[in-house]
Amino acid sequence: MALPAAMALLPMALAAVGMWAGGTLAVAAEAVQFNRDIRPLLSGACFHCHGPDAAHREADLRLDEAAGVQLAFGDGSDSEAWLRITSDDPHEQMPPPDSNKQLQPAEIALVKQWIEQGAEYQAHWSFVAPARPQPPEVKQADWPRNEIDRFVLSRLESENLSPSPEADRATLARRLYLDLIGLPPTPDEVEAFLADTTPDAYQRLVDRLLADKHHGERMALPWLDAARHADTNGFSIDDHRDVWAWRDWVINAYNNNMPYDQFITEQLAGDLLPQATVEQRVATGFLRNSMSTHEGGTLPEEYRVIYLADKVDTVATAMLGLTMRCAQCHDHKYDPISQEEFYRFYAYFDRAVEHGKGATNANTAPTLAVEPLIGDAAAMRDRLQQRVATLKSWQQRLSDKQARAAPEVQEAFRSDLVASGIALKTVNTEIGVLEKTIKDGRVTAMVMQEQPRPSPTYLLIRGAYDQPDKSKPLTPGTPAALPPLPDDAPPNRLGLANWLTRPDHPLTARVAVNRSWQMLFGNGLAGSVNDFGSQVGPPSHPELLDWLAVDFVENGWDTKRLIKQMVMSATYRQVSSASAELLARDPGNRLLARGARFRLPAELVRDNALAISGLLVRDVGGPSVYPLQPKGLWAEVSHYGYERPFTAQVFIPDTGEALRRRSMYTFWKRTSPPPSLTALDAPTREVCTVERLSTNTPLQALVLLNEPQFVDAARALAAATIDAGGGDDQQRVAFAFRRATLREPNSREAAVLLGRLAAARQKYSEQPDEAARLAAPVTTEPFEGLDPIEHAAWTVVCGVILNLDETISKE
Amino acid sequence: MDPRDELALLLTRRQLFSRGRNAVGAAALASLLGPSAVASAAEGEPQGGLPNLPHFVPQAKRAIYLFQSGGPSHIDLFDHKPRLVQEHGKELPKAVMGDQRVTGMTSGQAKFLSCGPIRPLQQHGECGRWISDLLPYTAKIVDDISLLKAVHTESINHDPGITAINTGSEQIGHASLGAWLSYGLGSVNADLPAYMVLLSQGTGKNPGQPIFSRLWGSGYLPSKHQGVRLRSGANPVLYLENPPGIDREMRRGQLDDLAALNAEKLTISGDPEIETRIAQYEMAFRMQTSVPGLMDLSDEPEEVFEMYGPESRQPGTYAANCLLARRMMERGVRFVQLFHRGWDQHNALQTHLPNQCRDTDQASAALVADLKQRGLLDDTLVVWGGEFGRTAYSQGALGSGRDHHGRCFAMWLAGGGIRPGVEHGETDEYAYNIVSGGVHTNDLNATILHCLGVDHQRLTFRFQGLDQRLTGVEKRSPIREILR
Repeated sequence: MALPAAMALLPMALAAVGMWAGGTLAVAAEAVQFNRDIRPLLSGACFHCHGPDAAHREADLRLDEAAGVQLAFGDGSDSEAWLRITSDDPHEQMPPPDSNKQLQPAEIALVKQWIEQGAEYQAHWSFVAPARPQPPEVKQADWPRNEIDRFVLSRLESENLSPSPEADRATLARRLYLDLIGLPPTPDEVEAFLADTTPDAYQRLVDRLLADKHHGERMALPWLDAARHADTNGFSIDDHRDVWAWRDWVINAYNNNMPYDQFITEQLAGDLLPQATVEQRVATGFLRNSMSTHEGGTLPEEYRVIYLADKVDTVATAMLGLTMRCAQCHDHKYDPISQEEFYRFYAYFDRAVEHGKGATNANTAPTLAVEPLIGDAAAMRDRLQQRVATLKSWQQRLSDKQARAAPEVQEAFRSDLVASGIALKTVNTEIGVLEKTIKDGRVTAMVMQEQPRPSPTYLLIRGAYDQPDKSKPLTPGTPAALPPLPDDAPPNRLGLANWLTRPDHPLTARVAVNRSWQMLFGNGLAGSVNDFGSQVGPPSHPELLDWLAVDFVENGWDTKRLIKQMVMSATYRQVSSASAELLARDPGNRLLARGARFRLPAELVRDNALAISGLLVRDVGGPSVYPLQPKGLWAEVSHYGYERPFTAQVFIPDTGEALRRRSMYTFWKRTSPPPSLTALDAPTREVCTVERLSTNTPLQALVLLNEPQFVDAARALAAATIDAGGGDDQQRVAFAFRRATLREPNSREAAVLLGRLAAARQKYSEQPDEAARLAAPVTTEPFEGLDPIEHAAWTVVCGVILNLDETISKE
Repeated sequence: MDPRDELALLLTRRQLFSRGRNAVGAAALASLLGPSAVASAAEGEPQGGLPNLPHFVPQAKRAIYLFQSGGPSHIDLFDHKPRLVQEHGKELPKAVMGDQRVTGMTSGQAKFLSCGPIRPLQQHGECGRWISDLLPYTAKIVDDISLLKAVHTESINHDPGITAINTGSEQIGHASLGAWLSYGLGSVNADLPAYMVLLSQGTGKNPGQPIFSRLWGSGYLPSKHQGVRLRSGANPVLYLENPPGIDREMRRGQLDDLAALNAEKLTISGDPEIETRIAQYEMAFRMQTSVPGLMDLSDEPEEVFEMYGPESRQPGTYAANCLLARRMMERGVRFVQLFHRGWDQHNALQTHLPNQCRDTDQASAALVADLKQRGLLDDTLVVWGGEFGRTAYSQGALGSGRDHHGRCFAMWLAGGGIRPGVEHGETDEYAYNIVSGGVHTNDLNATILHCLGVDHQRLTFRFQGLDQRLTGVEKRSPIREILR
């Protein structure tokens, strides 16, 4: 990876040096720009010794600032830096040969060109407040539907590319459903949309989906990753915590279209708002989502520091797009964040109550007992009572000598632990915890709360918890390279929130806008979603990013409006197929000459299968659930405890409807997360994650083909197909295919599936026992009144349909 | 380049160079599915991995890491200290303990009584290595192994300790050693994953300290590099088994349909991910035979089970996992890691430690001997060890237990790239502090990478603006003294 990402996005600059994929050597069409072309090179090759880190700065030269750049590059071809980077003398040469860093010939050529053009410095783009750019004029004036399109098209035209045509309406409907509510439409819903020929049909569909109660669930998904939301403590014993009240808060916030400035203010400082409501205090659970430990030998201060640093890391990554963590132990190597500034930022959280050694089988203080934010106490009790009933059935089996000998019990808990009685104690513990919540009618949430008399914050030398630099107490504060705190900002988390949400903050809105763009288009507009610092190249569409960010803030940080703006664009509506030429030219679709096409996120792959087959239980909110997973996975890694057992040590699946809820409600154990979701790239939720790198593996195929719930989806789709798919096989194949893909199969596709149906019928009529085995569901009641042979044969066909790349992809 | 772009470009290139894009029809499909017909379980062409790796000719092509979770006692097993025997029961000198960190479990103890090994150590082999009577089988392979006696870590507790040694950092979110190897070197077997993980629980302390999927996780690397757990039972790899009523022929038929329909889609959409998906479904199908073939021990002769010990017949045990590890080496799996729990002897040291040794000693030694007799040891690296050692002083009553000790502990390596019959590192008379030859856990990681032909400084991945690497930012080096 010698070339920074930026260069792949900059055909013009690259063409100048003959490096672009097309290989044509052309004269640069425009000037080299410091931020776009040069800063990433200097950051990668030079900042390590000539950057923000004062302790390791060589020759007192700083190339991340105007003065240093002028000093080093300001003398044209006589510039010291130029002579050094082109020197053959190992003693002179920069970067030094032993640094493992080097500039490629193409990069050196760019530097040369930049020097010839005057070596002009620019402040790092993301640290300068965006100004609203004028949407550019375009040649193909009839294409743009809104401002977004003018920016995108202008770039395409400069690349001599054309946008792709609009996708067909059924594809658009499916795309909108998946993007805005995370669920596929039914064929009837698509039909209704196709039948609606009024000019604003598309917009009305968008409005309807944005108002749908499932919209909040869809929007919450990326935020749960960023907020490292999970149901267990994460370190060591990894017992449970109750944090679903916070998750409900997030869903509500998105559904109610809470302005983004309020969204982050309440999560950072809801407790400090005047007359803070229960909801506002629950929101601060965002900061309490840090992992925690109560491992026996823990030195509490060591872990308290870890939790606080995690809060800095999470806020910096999720809200600022900065990698502040680097500055925990030393000045940042690349971005202007000193170690002292890290600890001043840290000081905001250091003032709050935080216990290094966490509670056992319960939330660690400070907590707040709350009634559910979605649904009421009675509904919560019902759900928890169902869970208790499930656990009690296992309690009974474990208490009974004969019953516990069953292989099923032995496998689930590990035979030695069944024999020793630890398994039973564990189940008893789980029941006790739940019964307390049921009795209270309230669940506890972990919240932020200021200490009455906070101790001073110190810089920790090399980041070590036991090496505070007591010579200098630090007050809370923000990095100097960014705008100052508002004058009236209090010296606490509320002040931090006020700072983050000041309208001219250069990062907050850009990061938010970029995250939404990434959700819809697969890539962000910025060079990276997790780093807006100097190590990453500039945005693919800097003006568009800025325009969206400014527009977002000026319109009250209105998230639904932002999403609507994006999906209303012609850019969004393009067909996602691509010619070979376009694929070769822009494999990652950074130029946006086509619509986005990618495999759905893990949760939506499962939700989609359950929805298509009609199995999905669409309740919103509430306690986490335990859908099926292979036996013993937790047992193999758990500690259990001995005399005092821990929760979340052995996995006990739910029964009934709780098995079929949306995946975002799946109980998330950080040390052994849901395997069918992690196989599909879900992160572990141990730390803040703002990007899932999409992979394509055989283990994913095994999940989709064999995981019992996915097979149940095929069984259910088969049952629905037999029941309602029409009179003949042809109609039925089309019915099942339509349910999954929202389009008609073509004749070749239908022929393939009909062929499989015939072969399967043949086989199962010869082997009716096998048919019965295949037809029997695992997570639902048996399907009544079906001929097992027909049901099995259709299950085979529906299994194929549910595994289609098209079914699991957004097109 | 952004890894996503790089990947996309790679896929596109492959597609473009392998054939014309719009030519995907039956013929192209056949070529696409071709490899399955010729795939075999034997070691083949490298799959995946980075183009510039290995950085140099590797001594080891593959590796097994026998991770002993919980902190095995270096004092009781490997580090012979007559002084400690003499002073058994006397207060450990304050000067020896120094002001270093002690865990919350013993920091409040009134006395820190020196505690000699619970069984004698004796010299073995031509090299005359001191080994505990608790490890009679390991004693027989001492001339094949290289013993590190001064490994150290900053960690004093399990979670940070096992996270640090396995992912290079106590900080959460880094990629594991095995994930790095998968990312850098890829696999040499088209039918099995590059990195496989087996878990077991010893009888020393049951249940042992918990372990975590992050220990074999991919961190910031793409998730396909995470270790794949191989379990006992019907589904050794999760979801490997077809659902009831779907036999192999029916599954083949489904996959043929899927390939045909996905190829149809590919002609319209052009998305190279579709082509990859078709290939991955085929690999899944091959895994459905390659994995059971791997797990089926019926072709192992009696003497092999005798060699690994009676538990090797019992799926899920450490001994059975050692045997599986050898079978995976034969099949070209790049990296196999066993995680064996139960080495955390805070109490009941006198009974638990012998139990723990009995569970593991014979099979660990058998694995090395077996690889050797098959000619595989020359290019297979074997690593044995845990996250830290244990204190020279007693936790609780004299001789009843030992607390965690990260200042120095012992590990051993054998096979590809390693000088046999040597030891490296020296501790003080109480096996409490390092005197010379200290090896940080990331020096060890650098050594493991080195044996596999990887320069630990050059295997990097750009994440959050930094070129991340397994061995972190401090200066680390392979342990030259034990390298061939």
